[in-house]
Amino acid sequence: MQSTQLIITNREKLAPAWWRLTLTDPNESMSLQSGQFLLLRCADAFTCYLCRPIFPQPETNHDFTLLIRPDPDPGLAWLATRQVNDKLDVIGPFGQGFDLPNGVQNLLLVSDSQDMAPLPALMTQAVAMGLSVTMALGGRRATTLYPVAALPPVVEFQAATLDGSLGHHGPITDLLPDLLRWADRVCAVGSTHLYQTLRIQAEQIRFSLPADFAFGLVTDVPLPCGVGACLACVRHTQAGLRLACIDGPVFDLAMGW
Amino acid sequence: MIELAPYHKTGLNLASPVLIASGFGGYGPNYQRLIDLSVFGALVTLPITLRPERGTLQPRLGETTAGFVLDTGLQNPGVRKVISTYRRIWPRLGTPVIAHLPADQPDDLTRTARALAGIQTPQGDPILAAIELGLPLDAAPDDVAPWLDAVRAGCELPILVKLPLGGHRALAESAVQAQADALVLGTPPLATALSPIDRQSVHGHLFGAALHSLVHHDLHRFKGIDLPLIAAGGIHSLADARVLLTSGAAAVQIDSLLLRDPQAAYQIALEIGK
Repeated sequence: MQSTQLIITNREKLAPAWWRLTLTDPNESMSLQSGQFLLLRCADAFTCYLCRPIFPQPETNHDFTLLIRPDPDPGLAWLATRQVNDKLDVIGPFGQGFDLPNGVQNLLLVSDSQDMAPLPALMTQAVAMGLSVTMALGGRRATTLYPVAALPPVVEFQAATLDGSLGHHGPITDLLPDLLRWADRVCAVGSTHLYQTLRIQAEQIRFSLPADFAFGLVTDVPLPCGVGACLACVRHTQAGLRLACIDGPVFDLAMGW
Repeated sequence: MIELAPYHKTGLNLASPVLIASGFGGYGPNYQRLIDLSVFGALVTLPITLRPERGTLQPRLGETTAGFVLDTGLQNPGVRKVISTYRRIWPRLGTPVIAHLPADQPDDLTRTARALAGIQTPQGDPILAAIELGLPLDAAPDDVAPWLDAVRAGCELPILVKLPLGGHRALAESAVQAQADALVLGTPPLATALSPIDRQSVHGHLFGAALHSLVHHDLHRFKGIDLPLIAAGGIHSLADARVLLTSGAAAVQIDSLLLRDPQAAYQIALEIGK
């Protein structure tokens, strides 16, 4: 955990609404797990006082990639205007990320949100480990989904759009029953509704939701301090109070949602 | 060194006049891996009550222009759990620890203070340096003495009384009469802002740059009060801290800057402490 400056060394357009920034850590001192987050201090404290959590993905010892897209949030909108050679003040890493232990064979990555930043890196990591990977993405329409062209061919891709412009016509949760029969590990990023549906469907298929099977990254609480000092990110779970910045932001869905 | 409890029998002698305010340093070790806490004069803990408090439901945080609104509902695990978790950590923090007790039923306050005062070093000295008693925003002058007496019945530690910002001078005078050891200015006013997550209204205490002028104003209003005044809120630069210290504050507490830039908070403490 440290304060540092990352330098934007590349800005690549993946699709009309998606960019990928390459961030370089000149000190080569930051070690980051997929799902852990950094706090980004935006330049203008007047419009954006609080640091924003961002989820860069480790590529090499000193390079990270960060997916960005247009966002109404002033902090993320500021980030979207950063250019090559700009520096980003960050603190971190914080929290518990996704884990891919030995023994996992069939990994399901699922999201119903455009904020699915940790999943592509997890996909890359899983492919490198020789796992079978399915990426299931849902959204309003095709252009809101992570660009299919950026996925490696070995990854099975399933899409669901509410307007039917790509893949299944309907919510991504419609596809979950078959996918949950196949997977032995699920990593999800999205809405509380997605996690609740995942939990219910997994219980129907497997009779109970086992621990260490399905994990979700919380996106419905703010993460302003990263160290459990301010208590703004508390979640009331069936297992009691949990701080998303320390105990999460990735939680085992068996813990109760 | 500064003395923040000159009329107390043991005093509250701190190495620096820059403290960490309640609500922004957790119970102590939270920022230890990011900044060296030894540059701060003391750390004031999150609230501690006799029984556990689950706090408010989400959303708890709303962002404003140059600040935010936060309501945790006094969430804390209760004094017994706090003591079992932190009694071995506090002596190794590198800075004295002041426990923040929100005003409560007098009997509960006494029991909480007694439990906290009971944790001691092997030499028999108290591990905590002082108690900060937080008054509610609607506290009346007559309420102050019973709360102070309740804390004093449970411990002999110095007691700092945290007043509502903009509160009536009579409240401060009643704290002086009830033999508070220092006054903290103070608890921020209530405000409302929208949650950045779901756009719901969040009602809670206001934090951010605007507080500095409110604290500065209270320092001027409370001139002549014969107790050390500790200015808490809105400090975002070395200049902010120095203005308050030259306007009558014996010490300052840094709050929301820790969330925005912990390194800047550290630098302020380092510079003032030189």
